[in-house]
Amino acid sequence: MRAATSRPAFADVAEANLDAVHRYLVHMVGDRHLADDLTSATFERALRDWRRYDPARGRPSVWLVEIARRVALDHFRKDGRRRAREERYAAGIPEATPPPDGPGGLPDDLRDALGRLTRAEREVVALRVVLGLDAAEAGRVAGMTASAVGTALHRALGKLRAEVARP
Amino acid sequence: VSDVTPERLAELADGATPETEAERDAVALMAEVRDLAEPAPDAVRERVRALAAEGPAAAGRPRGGWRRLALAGAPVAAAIVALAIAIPVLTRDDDGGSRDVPAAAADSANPMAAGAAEAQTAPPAAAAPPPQADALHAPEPQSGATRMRGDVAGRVDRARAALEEAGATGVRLEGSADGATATLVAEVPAGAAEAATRGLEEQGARVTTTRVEGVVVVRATLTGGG
Repeated sequence: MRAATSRPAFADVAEANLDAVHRYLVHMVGDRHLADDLTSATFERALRDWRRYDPARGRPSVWLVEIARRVALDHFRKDGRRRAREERYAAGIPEATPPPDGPGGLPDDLRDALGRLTRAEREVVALRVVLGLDAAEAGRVAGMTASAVGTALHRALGKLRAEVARP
Repeated sequence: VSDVTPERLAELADGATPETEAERDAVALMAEVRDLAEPAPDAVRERVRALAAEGPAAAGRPRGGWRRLALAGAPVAAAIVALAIAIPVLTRDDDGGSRDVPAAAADSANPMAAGAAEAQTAPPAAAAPPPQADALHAPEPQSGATRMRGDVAGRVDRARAALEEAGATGVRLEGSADGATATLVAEVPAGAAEAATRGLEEQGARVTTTRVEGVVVVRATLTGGG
């Protein structure tokens, strides 16, 4: 029989993990305003599904990031359909991809370099470096093995260092 | 960074202390990336706080609610169907006797009420307590007759014959758990009730009668050695 694990209050979990979820989404979608909206959507969905959260299966932060990922992917799917529709009517006009914007005073080249990573690479950087999840947790969120997470992180940081001069 | 192996980079990401220049560079790069991240804007923070304060209702209905409802409702629906089938069957089994049994039982248990039961003009169903109140004669299946012992079994047969001679219908046998007592219950035409009672008393039965809508419900209790 599994030992009972205490269940935190949703408000406490939301407060403690709001920044992490927002940062993850900024990296995933590369647009701070969109990340704001998706963060709200993530917590709405999390609140709706809160009864299903099982503390024995993982930290609430991982559970929330998994939800954030689904919210982001749903957005990409809808956005992809929307773009496809629009492209049928406005063929040939390239749509500008908003670069990931960051806070003032931090290196723009690093921000730009992050924006040039693939989405999977940005996600691994967000999970492992920004959120501090371990390789197994990051793999669970991203649907990869821990080993693949390590390889992707190595590749992503290599690309960043290649583009960004050392301070 | 490319000089650091993926395994070692994973250790550094988990907080290991860098030992070489390349490792220190990798850790510095990760710190820069980490510093790039900003906290969530206040507007988002307020929105999420308000959401958490309002509770699950604010987040709308959970998806798949109808599925859960169907799952929860299925056993209830099955129980209703089973009851709908079982009730008519049980009611039919009880017809012709059990509704009258409590009145007769009350008669034998309380002599003061015996006369009153006969004189009562209200329908027996209205006056009778529920069947399970009959503690004196707990219903037994027909096979209870096989447990009759000694002379009880013989007297039961003769009493049954007397009832049939009097034109009784719906004759049924109830027995006590130890087989020492048997009770015959039957409906007898009003005109033949006296003859039936006499025939039963000849077998040593204790007889009570209840008049119900033109027939007399006769209840004859035979006790071993009686």
